[in-house]
Amino acid sequence: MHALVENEFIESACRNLQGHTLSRVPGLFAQLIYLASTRDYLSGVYHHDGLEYEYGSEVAAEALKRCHTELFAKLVALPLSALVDELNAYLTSSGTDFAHSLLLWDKLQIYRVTPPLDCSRVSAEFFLSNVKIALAILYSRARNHRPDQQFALPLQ
Amino acid sequence: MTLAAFIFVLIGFLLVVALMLAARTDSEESSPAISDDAAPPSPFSRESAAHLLSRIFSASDLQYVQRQNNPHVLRLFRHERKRVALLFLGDLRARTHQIKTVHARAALNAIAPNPGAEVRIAVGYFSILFFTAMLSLLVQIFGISAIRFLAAPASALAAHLSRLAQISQSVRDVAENSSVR
Repeated sequence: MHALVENEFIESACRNLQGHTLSRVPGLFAQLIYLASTRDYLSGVYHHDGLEYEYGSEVAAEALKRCHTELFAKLVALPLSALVDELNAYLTSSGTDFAHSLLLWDKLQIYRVTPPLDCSRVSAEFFLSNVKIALAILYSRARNHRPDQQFALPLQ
Repeated sequence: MTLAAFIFVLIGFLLVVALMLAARTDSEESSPAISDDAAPPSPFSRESAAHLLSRIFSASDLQYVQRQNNPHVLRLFRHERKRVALLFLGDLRARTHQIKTVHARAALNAIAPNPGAEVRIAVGYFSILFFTAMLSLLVQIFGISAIRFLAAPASALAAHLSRLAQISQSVRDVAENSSVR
């Protein structure tokens, strides 16, 4: 019974997170980055002040974890073409130099922190591999559109 | 020894070497620093494995990359898909090994062993190991060209692993129940 009530709280917190926070983050990729950034690097526990205030830290952490896992599964299931579009939308949304962002992402591999902890190693690697390919596609397109632009590093 | 027998032994030897290589090189690039034994295994579901397989072996992704007209991107795609396919097969092998280890531990302490189930588990274990090694070898040799035709057998292997886990679990459950009584 207790688990059932807790699950209802978690579901409610998920809906709250979707309605108030994630709906304002444009694009699946940006939402993934946002959710991954709410996870503590050392403990792996998720934190969100607003949700914790409303539901308590345990329910809030579980809701964030659940949303993160579901969103990640959605991105893993995307065809490569759709993932390229999502990544393109995310990288162009910030207004910073697109080529610079591409090279930064390729060099630092920031996307490696995005998979949730409870996903399988194969699905995490598949997603990271797809992001790597998507970066290469965006890079080649950017180079074709701006042949005058000097890109500092060729993507590996 | 006749020439035919010599060729036969040579082919056998090469096959064994190739199988060993296929088993070794599946996940070298993405090996975690800490061995998987220390981390709790993520749950295995036949449905999610089948879904992931259809994505790994997706022909539409290949067509999309081919339309980009960039040899570097195509090369990268081929390399990455091959790596992930090998990783998938390596993961199946590791899970099979895990089931065998857990099962062997339980079987040692079983009061009333079930020889029929033990034989089925042993046969299942060795057949999965053999077929994953064969598929790994084909992926190693033919790369993405083979990958397109391997979705069905890989999916069948995942289903086989799922059945093996169920048999092993039921045998362990029976053993636990009888020891409680």
